[in-house]
Amino acid sequence: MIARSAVVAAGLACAACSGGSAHDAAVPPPLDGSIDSAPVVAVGALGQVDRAGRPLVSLLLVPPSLKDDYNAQGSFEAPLPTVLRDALESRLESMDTLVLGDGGPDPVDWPVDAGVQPLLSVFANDSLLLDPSRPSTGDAGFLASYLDLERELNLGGDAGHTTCGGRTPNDDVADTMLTLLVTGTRGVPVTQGVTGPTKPASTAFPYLAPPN
Amino acid sequence: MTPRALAASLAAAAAVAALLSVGRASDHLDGPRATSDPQADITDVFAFTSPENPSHVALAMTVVPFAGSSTAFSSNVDYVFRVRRAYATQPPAFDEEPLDVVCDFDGAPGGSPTQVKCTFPDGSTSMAAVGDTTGGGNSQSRARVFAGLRSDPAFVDRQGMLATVAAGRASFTGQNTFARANVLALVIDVDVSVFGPGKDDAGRSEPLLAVAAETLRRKN
Repeated sequence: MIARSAVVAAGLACAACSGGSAHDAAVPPPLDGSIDSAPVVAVGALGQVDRAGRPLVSLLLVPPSLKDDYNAQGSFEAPLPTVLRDALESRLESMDTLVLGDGGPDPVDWPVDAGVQPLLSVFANDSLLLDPSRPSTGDAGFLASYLDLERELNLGGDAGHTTCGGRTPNDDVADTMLTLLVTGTRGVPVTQGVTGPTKPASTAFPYLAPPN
Repeated sequence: MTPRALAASLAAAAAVAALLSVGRASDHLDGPRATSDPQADITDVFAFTSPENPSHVALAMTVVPFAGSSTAFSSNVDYVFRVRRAYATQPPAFDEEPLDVVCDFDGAPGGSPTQVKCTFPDGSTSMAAVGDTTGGGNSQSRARVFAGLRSDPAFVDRQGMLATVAAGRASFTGQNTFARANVLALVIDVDVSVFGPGKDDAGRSEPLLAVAAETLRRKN
């Protein structure tokens, strides 16, 4: 556990992010968690640094020791290397039986079928699936659209998608992810208890809210 | 690399080393390599039909966790939206043809970039000044690009997530790790036709799109 010393380090870590001036992190990040015990690499090493598609995939499904390997993989390179595939599958199985509240492990919602965890077909390709012919907004602003297409195309959902899918701002993707991974389609919501961003996005370009 | 930039990079390396060694505790950064290169550390990706023009799509990526008011994009990093056509089969099928959007920033030695240029898969480009919230056009323009500091759109109890994964038990705190934080955002609003007139197996036009983001450091 660390506190202030690591906060200072985090601020300094972005000293190279401005035109040579010191980074003035607006908000010190909380640093109470455990760290990946991986070696420090050279700042600015060349090549692919990071990749992302669906939210929280790396955080929830990729073990610390494999994050660099995962991030160096092309988003559409297939098939996924065996070590990454096995790691994803192992994490998916663990999340499926997460202990909720004071009870025991949550029941298995995604039984391995023919040697494959069913959600692997969703998360092995880490991209947002978007239908540009469907809307992202309704009368109340942005629609919750995350995983709308995957439910229909990967998981055999009965309802066709009505939104554009992909990911809209303001969508509570963390709770959507947790619920899918842990309780599947049983209709038992799983929540992290955080209900919205600091400032909601608007439906006018550039959509994301002005800085704090 | 200028002496000033070199000094900044060394400071960053030292700080990251300190971060990783002191108590071995992590912040929200994603793996050691991205941690050491925050300008290339992707924090979130969004893809949605444009609310302002239904024939457009909006793509956004955010980088630099906990960015400050003087934080800038890197002129030595390619910020890439990887796009593929996808087809509504079960499971969905992905086309192999890359339809990427590559965004770069101009670079003045020792200074912050002032302009962003995005190149679309049809070879067309769109440019805008960094921080220009008009994106260099309006909702009827073929493409708009915004690059600049924004409120972090993420709302995640990251520490709770880490504790949950480690313990195998829901251990959320209900605290938004990214409350009041800022990030650098790259937002594109572009006519979907730049991704071509693809058709699915049934001959339907307007196939799905699969969207991811990657950062590639070209030089130091």
